[in-house]
Amino acid sequence: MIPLPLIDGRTLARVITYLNKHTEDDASDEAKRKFDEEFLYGMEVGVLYDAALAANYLDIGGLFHEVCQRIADGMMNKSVEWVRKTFHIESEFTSEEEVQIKKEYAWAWEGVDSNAD
Amino acid sequence: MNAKRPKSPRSVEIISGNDDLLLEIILLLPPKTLVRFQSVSRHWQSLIFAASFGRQHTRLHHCRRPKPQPSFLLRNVLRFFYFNPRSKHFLPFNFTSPHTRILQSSNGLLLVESRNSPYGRRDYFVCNPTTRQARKLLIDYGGSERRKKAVIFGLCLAFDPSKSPYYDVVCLRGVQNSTSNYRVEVYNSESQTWKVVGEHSIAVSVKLSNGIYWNDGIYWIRPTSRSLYLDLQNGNLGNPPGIRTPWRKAGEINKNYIMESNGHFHCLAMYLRPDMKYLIVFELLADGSGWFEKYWVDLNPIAGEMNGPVGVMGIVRGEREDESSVLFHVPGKIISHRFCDGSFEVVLDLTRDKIYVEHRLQFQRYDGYQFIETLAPV
Repeated sequence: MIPLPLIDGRTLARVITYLNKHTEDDASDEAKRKFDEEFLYGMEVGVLYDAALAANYLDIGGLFHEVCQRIADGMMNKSVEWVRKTFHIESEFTSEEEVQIKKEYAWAWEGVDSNAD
Repeated sequence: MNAKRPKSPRSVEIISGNDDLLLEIILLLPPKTLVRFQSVSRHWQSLIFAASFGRQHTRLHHCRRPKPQPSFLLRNVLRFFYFNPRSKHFLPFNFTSPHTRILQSSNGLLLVESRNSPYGRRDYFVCNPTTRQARKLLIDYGGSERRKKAVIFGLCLAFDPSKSPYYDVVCLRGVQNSTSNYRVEVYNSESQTWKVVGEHSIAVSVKLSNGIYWNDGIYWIRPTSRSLYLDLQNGNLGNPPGIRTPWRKAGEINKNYIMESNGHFHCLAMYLRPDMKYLIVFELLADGSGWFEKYWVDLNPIAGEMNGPVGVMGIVRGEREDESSVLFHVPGKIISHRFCDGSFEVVLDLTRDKIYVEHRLQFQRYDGYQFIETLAPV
């Protein structure tokens, strides 16, 4: 028995599911891609971060990269406030500085999701 | 080694506190998102604008498919606007200096000329409009005595992120005390030095502007007069193949535009006759040996919009045919035409904007600069 203290059982089970699928002899690339899509898009956001850490810790490059991509896709149109809240970041920018940045790079704020979620 | 904590940190906090992990994720975000996320914290700002991250990000995203659609910077007299034909966002864009002229756009970087006052000294910069970073080019004008000043015939930017994250600036200049020799000097952003690439004897009597970097060379194409081509490998000047555009007939307005998009080099020839309006898009063959007719567009469906001045704003070539389009500009509007289905769509309506002037174009010839949003460092 090999203890893995940094990963909880549920996440490990998911990782094993992923690895099983990807090492199947008769699974085509297309089947794997389809599996990945359903597998990753079915995960709750919180679980994605667990999976990223697990994949990184276990050095499973393919899974790590795909989970990161999924996290990035979910973040793409989010607001700055959402990022701070999700990642527990405190900003040291003064409100003047923030206003200045937003003024200079105004185009980057177009099309941002509202903070409804 | 870890201090005792009452509750272990959540995964997202671990990632947030670990730059290596965080970078793996933000590397996958598009430039627009990252430019916005600089506001998250000073730490994120420093990560995002670090030159090494910018290079890595550019290299990764430039190879990805589908490639992002370009945005435009549009110049209206002394003001600039950011415009994205896809999202239709249109808003003011300010350069650091109010007296800025864009000389050229290459894969997301701009070559600009800037002055502190309307008639002040000209300085040249390579600028990334996405990150707003700029680097001043130190050009040696060769002595303080005016008559000995070497004339600069042309300045051109060569940047291809698929080949290198670094750019070159090519300077074509006269040799002091001689009117018939020219010298080619190249500045490289990795070495940050100028190097003489070649010196040749050929008369360059014309000031070269609107050069386009393509296929390892700089092209200055003038459809109705002498064109020039500079080979960047050996610094030789030559003549690219001429274009056979149809003869202009009486009563016909013919305008030609030389434009590059996504590795394709075009001459767009627009013909406006009272009874017939059309656009031919010629493309230069990949080996530069000749031109072929790529698209033929019937403009009669929008003839009603074309009773006043008309211009071509730009051509956008996507990876797939259905992503390719050409943009027309008529007073107060920009109209997009998709080649694959022949459709026309008004993508920008300025008739209520304060820059709108009836019967006049808001943006003149070559006032539209296509650029890819990128984090490429300067």
